[in-house]
Amino acid sequence: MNGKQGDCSYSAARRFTLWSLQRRAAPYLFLLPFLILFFGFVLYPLANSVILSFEKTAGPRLTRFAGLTHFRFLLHDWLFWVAVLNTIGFAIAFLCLQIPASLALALLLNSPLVRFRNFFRFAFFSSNLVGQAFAAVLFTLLLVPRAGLVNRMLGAVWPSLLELDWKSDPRFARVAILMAALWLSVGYGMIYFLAALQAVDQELYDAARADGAGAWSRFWHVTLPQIRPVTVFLILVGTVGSLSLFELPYVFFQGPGPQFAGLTIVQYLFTQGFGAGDLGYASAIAWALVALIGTVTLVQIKIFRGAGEHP
Amino acid sequence: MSATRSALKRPAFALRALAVHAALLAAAAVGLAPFLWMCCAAFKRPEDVFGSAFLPPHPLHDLTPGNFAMLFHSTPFARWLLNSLFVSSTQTVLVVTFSSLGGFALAKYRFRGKKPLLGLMLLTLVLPALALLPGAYLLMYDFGWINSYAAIIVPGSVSVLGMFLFRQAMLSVPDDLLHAARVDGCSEIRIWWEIALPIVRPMVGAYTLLSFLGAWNSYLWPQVVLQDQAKFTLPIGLAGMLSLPEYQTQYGVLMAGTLLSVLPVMLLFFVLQKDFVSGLASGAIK
Amino acid sequence: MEFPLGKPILAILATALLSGAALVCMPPTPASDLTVWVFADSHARTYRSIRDSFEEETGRSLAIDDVGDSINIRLASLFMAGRTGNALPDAAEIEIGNIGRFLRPPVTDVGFLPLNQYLETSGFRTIDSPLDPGESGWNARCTADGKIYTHDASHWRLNPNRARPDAWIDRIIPARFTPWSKHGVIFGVPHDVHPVSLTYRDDLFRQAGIDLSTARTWTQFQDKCAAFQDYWRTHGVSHRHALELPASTSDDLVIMLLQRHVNVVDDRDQIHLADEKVVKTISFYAQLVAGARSIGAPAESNTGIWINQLEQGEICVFWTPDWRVDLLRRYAHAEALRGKLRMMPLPRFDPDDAPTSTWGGTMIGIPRGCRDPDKSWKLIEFLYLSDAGLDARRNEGEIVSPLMERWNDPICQKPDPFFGGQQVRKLYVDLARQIPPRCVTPMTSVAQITLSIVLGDAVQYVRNRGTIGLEDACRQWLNRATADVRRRIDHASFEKRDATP
Repeated sequence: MNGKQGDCSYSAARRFTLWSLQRRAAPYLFLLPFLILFFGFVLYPLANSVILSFEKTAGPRLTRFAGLTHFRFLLHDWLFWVAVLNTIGFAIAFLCLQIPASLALALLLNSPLVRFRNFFRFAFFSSNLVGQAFAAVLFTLLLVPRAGLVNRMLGAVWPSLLELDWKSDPRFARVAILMAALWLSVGYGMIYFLAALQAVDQELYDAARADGAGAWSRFWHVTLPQIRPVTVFLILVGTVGSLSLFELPYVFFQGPGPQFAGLTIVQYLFTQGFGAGDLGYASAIAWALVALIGTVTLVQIKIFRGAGEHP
Repeated sequence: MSATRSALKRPAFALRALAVHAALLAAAAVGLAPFLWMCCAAFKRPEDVFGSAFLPPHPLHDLTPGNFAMLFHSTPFARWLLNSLFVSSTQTVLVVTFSSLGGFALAKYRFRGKKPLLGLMLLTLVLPALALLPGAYLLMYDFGWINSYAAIIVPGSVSVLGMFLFRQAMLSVPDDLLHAARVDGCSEIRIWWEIALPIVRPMVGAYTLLSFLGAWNSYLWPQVVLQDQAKFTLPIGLAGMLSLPEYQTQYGVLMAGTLLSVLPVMLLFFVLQKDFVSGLASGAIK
Repeated sequence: MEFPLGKPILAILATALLSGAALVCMPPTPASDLTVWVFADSHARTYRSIRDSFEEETGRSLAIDDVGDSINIRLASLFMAGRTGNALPDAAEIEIGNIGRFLRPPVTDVGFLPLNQYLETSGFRTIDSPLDPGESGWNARCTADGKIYTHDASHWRLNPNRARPDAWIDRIIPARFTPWSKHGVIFGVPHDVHPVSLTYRDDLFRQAGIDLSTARTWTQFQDKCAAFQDYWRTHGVSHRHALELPASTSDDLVIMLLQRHVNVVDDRDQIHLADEKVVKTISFYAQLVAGARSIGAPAESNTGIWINQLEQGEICVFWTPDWRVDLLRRYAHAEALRGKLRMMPLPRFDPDDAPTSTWGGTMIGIPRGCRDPDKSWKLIEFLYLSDAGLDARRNEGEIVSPLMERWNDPICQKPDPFFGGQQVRKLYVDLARQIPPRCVTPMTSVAQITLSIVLGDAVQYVRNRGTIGLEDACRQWLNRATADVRRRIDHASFEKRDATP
């Protein structure tokens, strides 16, 4: 990419050295803000967290080396495993519901029959704009037994559901969180799917139709493979996001929830680190979570790569 | 031929359109119902908030803006709003600037260390931010930034995702343009500012929305780092209102506050809708 | 020149600059000389009513912040960040369920200031002459030659270190310092005593021909309640239960254990979950709430609802610490209950059990890094120990104060029409004298949760298989629970322990 300077006047010659200096330095200068922040606020805390997970803390600057104590304790800590079960259960339920729902909505919206597409797009995506904390506040009020909107609607269909106390029954507590999370995220997935669907080459459909393929067959053999990258992306992002769930159940239950139904791994991390004050144990939990996410992601990538080779 | 075909299909066509729209309307109703409830509750009197599903029995008589007055009067809402505006907008400006600069560098220059850097960045991308939480907290303590705006803005100005998104977008800037500009004697920074950025404007819009959204709704990190009630951002302030005992929480006021908190991002999305979708289209199909 | 980044980001940039400018120019909130954080609105109301007299008396301005439940995480965060000075309140109230986490660091690093010194050297009141024996009930006496004797649990001893015979530490009931102490270092002044009694629908019991107040032991109590339930079943009222007994939370079980002088985790980090007493109590409790001879049912936690259950006679005996009686007085329909209630002390298991227990509690403490601990102490004395403070508190409710001299107040002798003329306040004061000490450690809440789980298992066992083999099963579960809590304590404790004492 060396721009060859052709003829030069005197000023051009002087500019030449300054110019080529800034030309060479440019990439480093451009990257400098990012690099400083990256090393300072990502890599250094990361390293710090690794070290912390081998230490016990009890306050500002009260630390003591503890070796593998935290990790050994983690294996036997039943509260941690409750959190793991809750989190994994949530992640599976969430992904199994969000991806198909987003895709369905995107397919509907992509239909050429639709008018007011912009309105619908706004309607579906606006719930994603709200954010977990505000959504938790909103759903706290929506799920009030007997008088909240959701119970009213349910009660109109099935009267006994009017009294449903979402916050005190562990089974329904989990459903409540799932509901709120889906409300937040279906629009997000829909936008991505819509963009992907609209990028599919129409000719592929015409070719398939000419071959005599029906609607379902067209969907399975043309649409799905074409939107595979976006699907994979959403599954990966959704996995990381749902395994890291914290704000929604924390604000909703103001704690771990009925019989720990709302306890997620990150919430346990938070209460151990900033509630009980042991940042070391919190770091150990964080790394356990990273290991979990890393393993799941790797497995997923392997599956998708493998599936991709056999269309 | 298509004309006769569509003429033959007209009744079925109308039926299908009806079905599709019905399904979409039902889904939209589910998606928008909470907002509708929130808007109604924000204007209802305390005894009406749960008394009726949406509107009170005598709307003209019973709806009141009193909740908003109470909101600004009895809680530091104005302060929280100001804090959120300042923190989110500063963070957004910084992160968009740094990411577009860095993304440009990653896309259009060759330099030593590029591959390892990219690899390192990719690795941290799959890392949840929470692994950093305890270490980052200690770092803030060492800097003396606990309970300061800097603790939120500065770490928030770095985004590996942003770097990747802009790198992807910048790859589409034609090299010939850059070459021509250099021949003309443009400095690199002017090339970035006047040539590259306008081309990737959709991505700028999309990423602006994404990062503002993330900053505005962020709860965990500010909760950990901020301690003065005067410095709280909106999510912390409003969620904190939930922790007061039941008979103390003014639900209408809470919904008024939530409504006001959601409006800015709605507005931003409304303005940036087109950019967002086209920016996504270019970035997501990777 | 068109802005290359687009108008929206220009708008955001403008927002950033404008809001930043606004924040800089904003006038700082007027700081008051002293700030106290509370979490309960009733306390906030009480203190606000006497704020003016405090400000007049001391010339310092006082701010009372009602922080709600987030007080715990905010204080923990402040302590963890090592903040000092203006960031900290000058005094803060903590509830008994939450003090555990603050006691985790070593004693020298606990976020609150040790108050032993203040308690031993200040007392407000001055004794006129060395011959004055002091108010009755105090744990200190002064003899003619000016020597001060203090009373510990059993004897009067000469105390050369005590500076004055009216020191607060001798005037507050010692059992209420225990929850707020670690290894003898006191971190908070107690707000209350909260003795627990049983309140019951005497009218319904009399109708069944039973005088519940003669039940002295739990076995007798169970027999009477079983007879009560049988009577009403045969008279067509099927959903009338005797005692309020949750089956999945351990709050009332803990009350019984405290009565038997058992703290699940004590101050020396000894775990008593697997003690024989606990095994026997949990087995007894399980068959109280399930099985053929069950006499209890869970009540609702919502105040309006459980009071309604009492009024309807669905549940006829409630565990009543003094704060619950306050709620009854305030929210019950007077016509539904007036004259129908009676109160009795708790029945016992063994003769050396206390006839009462304790439930709940609040303390006020001084954060270690606050601006001026001496000023904070004066504030605490005013709010918690002065006549003004205690009188203002009485407007909010009839909580027994931990200051023993107040127990001689003649108002205690007044008969209570709500309880059919019974001298309820006198009963509470008598019970207060016999309060068992309660220990709260960082692990207490986890231990209590573990206890709830074992309780749930025990109740399930009784429902499926009756009481045969129940004690052995409980012993097994409790041993496992003890091992788990032991592991947790060893993991969480910051100090190195040479050998378990």
